[in-house]
Amino acid sequence: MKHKIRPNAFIGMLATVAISAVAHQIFSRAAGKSLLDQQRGPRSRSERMKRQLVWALLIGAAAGGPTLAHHSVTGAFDAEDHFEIEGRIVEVEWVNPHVYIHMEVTGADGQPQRWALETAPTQFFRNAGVSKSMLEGDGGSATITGIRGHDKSQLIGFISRITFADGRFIQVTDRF
Amino acid sequence: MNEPIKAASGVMLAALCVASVCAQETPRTPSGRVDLSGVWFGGFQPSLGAVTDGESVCMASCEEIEGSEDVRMQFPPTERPTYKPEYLARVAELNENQVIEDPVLRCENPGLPRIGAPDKIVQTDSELVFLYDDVNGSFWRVIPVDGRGYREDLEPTFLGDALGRWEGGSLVVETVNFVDETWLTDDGAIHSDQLRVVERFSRDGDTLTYQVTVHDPVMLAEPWVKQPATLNPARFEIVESPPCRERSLPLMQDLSSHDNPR
Repeated sequence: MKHKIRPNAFIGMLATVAISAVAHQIFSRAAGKSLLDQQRGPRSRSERMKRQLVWALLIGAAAGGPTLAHHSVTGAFDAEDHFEIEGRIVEVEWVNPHVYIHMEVTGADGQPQRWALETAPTQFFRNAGVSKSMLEGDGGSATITGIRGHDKSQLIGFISRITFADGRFIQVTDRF
Repeated sequence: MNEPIKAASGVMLAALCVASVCAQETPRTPSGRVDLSGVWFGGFQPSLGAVTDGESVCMASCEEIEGSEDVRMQFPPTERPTYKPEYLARVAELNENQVIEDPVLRCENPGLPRIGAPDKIVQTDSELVFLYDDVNGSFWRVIPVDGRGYREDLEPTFLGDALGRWEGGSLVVETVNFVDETWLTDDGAIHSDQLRVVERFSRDGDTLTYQVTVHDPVMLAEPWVKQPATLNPARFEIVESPPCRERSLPLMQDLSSHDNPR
């Protein structure tokens, strides 16, 4: 495991992102096992088709705007200080108003560090078909990007994307 | 009738069918009332538009998954009640200190009307039950529709004492007996214990229109008529909301920096 922080890596992208929400889309494509399949074991063809149909029926507005948070994200987190850390997800707190993901990384001094990373409410993940176990992954390494807290003395942040070792990812927001 | 006329007639009939005859009927209960039962969603439901390629999930647009470059939608302007002059300074002060003052940010009951439309409605001939799967918790209201009066033995509550009545095909719910601890919006919109909230539910096919008017003769200069919300049947069931534990408020640097639109 390694630990790397890339502050300000996406300032340009941030500047282009207006406060908005994403309008609904209907899209589904069969491509191997889904995250759900991997978490819950093999499914029959009909089950997989049903799952894909559920995805296709997910209609509505997606995150990206103010409703991502119970409070203002930028009130607590620094929208101009982006991080990318690689480590192991050791705990997912399935609580409101924000799910917390705890990641253990190896610091520059070789010692383990534990980051507490805030993300969207449980309802948002549920509506997207993302379960707690999907956020936990398989216990292997993962990479998380997001923005750090204003308080730089704490290993805290707000998550924009989780990428698992096999390349699968969950993008929570495109604001940061 | 020659073939072109037949074809044209068919198109016209199809158009009429779409417009009226074949429109989805509004469900009714065995006793003939409009049936409001079911799980409903409307307004902004972030991540319902999530897309996947079967492996990854985009809750917001991302380049890797086809279809996630979605059409963007602006939030509607925030609605605010109009206050009597003597309350404007207090509302402004609370607004400037929302992070400290807003009860919703402390995971408390959002109250009515801030909690929004019910997520699920259970209907009988004598009462309706509203269920809320809220970020702040799981809440419920019982709405008698059997002609009884308001109870006189109840202490004020966050969601008040409600009575319902049918006006034509619409359900009208009038709620009183509130505590004065909740806000009407996220920007310091306080109210008195004389708050009275009138909700109107009208169903047409699979469309439920939710209209709210807020009365507070003590603080508001005029009744606050909110923009109607449109809801549709949800394709999911509600569940008990996980515990609400707000932890990042101590990290806030801007006490007025709030963007919670409800």
